[in-house]
Amino acid sequence: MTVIVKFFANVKKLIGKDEITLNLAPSRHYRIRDILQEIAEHQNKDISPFFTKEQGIHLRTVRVVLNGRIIYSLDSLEATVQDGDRIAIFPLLAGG
Amino acid sequence: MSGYWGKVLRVDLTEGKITIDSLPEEWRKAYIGGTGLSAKILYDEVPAGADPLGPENLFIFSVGPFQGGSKVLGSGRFTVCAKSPLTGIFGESLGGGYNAEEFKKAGFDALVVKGKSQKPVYLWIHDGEAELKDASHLWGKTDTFETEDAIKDELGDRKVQVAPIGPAAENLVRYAGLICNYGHGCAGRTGMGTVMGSKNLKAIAFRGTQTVPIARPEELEKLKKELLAIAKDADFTKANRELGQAMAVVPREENGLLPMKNFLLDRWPDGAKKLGAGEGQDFNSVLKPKPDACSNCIMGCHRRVTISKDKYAMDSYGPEYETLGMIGSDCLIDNLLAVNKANELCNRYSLDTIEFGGICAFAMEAYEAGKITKDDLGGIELKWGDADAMLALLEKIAKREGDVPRILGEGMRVAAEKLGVSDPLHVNGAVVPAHDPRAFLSMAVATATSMKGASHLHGFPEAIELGVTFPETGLKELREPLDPHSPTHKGLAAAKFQDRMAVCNSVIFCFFYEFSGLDFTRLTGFLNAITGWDILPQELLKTGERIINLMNMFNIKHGMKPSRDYQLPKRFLTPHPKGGAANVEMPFDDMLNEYYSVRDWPNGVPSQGKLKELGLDFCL
Repeated sequence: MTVIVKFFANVKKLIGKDEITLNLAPSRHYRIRDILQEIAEHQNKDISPFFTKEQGIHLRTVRVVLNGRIIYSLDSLEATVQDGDRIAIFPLLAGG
Repeated sequence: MSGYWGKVLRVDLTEGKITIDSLPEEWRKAYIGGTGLSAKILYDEVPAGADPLGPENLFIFSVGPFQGGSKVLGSGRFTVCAKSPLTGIFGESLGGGYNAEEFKKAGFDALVVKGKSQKPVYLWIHDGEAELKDASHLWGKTDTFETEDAIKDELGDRKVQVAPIGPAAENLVRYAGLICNYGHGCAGRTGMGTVMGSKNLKAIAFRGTQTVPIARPEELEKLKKELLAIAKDADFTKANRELGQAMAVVPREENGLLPMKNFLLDRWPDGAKKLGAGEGQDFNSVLKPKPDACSNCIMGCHRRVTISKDKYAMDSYGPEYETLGMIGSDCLIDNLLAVNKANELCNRYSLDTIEFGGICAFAMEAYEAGKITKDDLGGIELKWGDADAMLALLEKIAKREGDVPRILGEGMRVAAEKLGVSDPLHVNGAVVPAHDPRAFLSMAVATATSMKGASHLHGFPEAIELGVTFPETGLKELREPLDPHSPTHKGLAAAKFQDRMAVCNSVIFCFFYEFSGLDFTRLTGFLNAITGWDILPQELLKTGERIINLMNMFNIKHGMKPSRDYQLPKRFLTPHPKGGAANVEMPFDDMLNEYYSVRDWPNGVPSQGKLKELGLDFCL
């Protein structure tokens, strides 16, 4: 199955790409957490500020959007990813 | 009637008369409350050409259906609106703290003040009644904190909440706000405190014990439980509680949003670390803040701070992101204790920290260019990064000491004209806040077309560049996040997020909860459960569009020429060569034209068809 991951702002700068397409084994069950870990393992860069291999993702430094909907908390990263899903990754920012 | 009392308190300060008007259902549905209701009243009643500091101007304090009973997360906010003495157009500011709940529980949806009192007074509103009380003993003598204490003592009830003004507002500095709850609830922007000052209205005090009826309480409770379950575990909630808004300083220095040296500089990493909160940053270790929440909030992004043994000693609330950006990095001041002190002083004097910070950076650049001298400033050497010079200027502006500080108190537009400074960084008189529009291109359109002069919170379309999509619009372009550096769909995003924010500021809730689960569908659900209505998100969005169109018609009625006035300062049209937004080209005119096309505003003026479609025929 195919999953498209887009990167924004500081995350894009760190990864060095706008987006990557992951071709994943259709037989395996992937959660969003697994996808992020996949990215962490395959990028030949120091992306530790945003991702760690142990956790898949740093809780408070990025925001994940799945198919246009925000994943509000770490627990939601257990959600299953399906063929054709679009994931966007942002720095965790807002303010006023 | 649910969600409302259906009552508007009217006070004529010239006549000393207090009356109560009803709030008709058609107005509740068409304008909701808060900013929307204020726009309707201001459009109808403030005559074209009225002096913002004259008795014809109105001052409106209002809440919406979310206050006074629902306890929806993020609903502890109020709005204040008037014709702005800073911009001459629609004035609006929102504040948190405890006043929104207390005012609504006192039995009113809105307070409309006109005229001018002969002597200083304060307004005491309590459980369906209101009276004017003498404030001569406070005027010219007390800052906002002291005013609050004095009124609570006088009324013999520490549970009374107060919305006071301080000396800067009394002295008619054009960017004075209402600083409530000792700096916990600040409505700083567009000079709404100055309007109170012009009316000799020193404060409004509230005490209420009534809870507004809810139409469908079981449905409301179910929705609240759902939101709480998401919000309490949301990463943004946790980060905002632990670090507060100072967490944004360093990331925004990296992505180019932080203003540095009056928006001239593109990197300032060491300075940002001294102001920000997070790993390896100074905010938490130096200020040792404690989180403090507004009514009905679990985030608590406000910071309670006490500094006891220092030349910058203070005891109230610490600075938020905007203050750190405008008084700190925009002036190249990395002395956190001094910025923290300036924040408290602005609050005591009731100066807007965004406007003061922008003015100070403007004056520092003018000082460096020789357009202002040490003699002009009564001996202040106003050099970049000089914290004590900044604090000295603050005092002089608030007290209106000396010709040049007095001019700086008139706002950036007037100051630039009088001091011969070209391309000042304001839009329609309000300074551009700590969101450099070159870093998030949607903000370029939203800043230029803000109905209240430059503001980061007139829409905040930056949200969709941070992951908050807007599927309720039915537009496929807004179903996915947008790239901050691409101009694509930015006019569209600015328009739709302005409509959304107009709803947010009318129902009223804190937009931070948009990052912790309160999306527009859920928001509509809350409104229906509270009021008993059955409207769709798309209909509610249309209400937001009506409110924005009405604000624009208010501005046009009061002399605005959109094609001339909804523009960005030229400095923002040239990209930075370095930093997080390096070499990002901004086709501003293309984005603006898209915005006008989406809005059906040829040259910025709503078409007749659009006004009729929105039920704004009375503007034709």
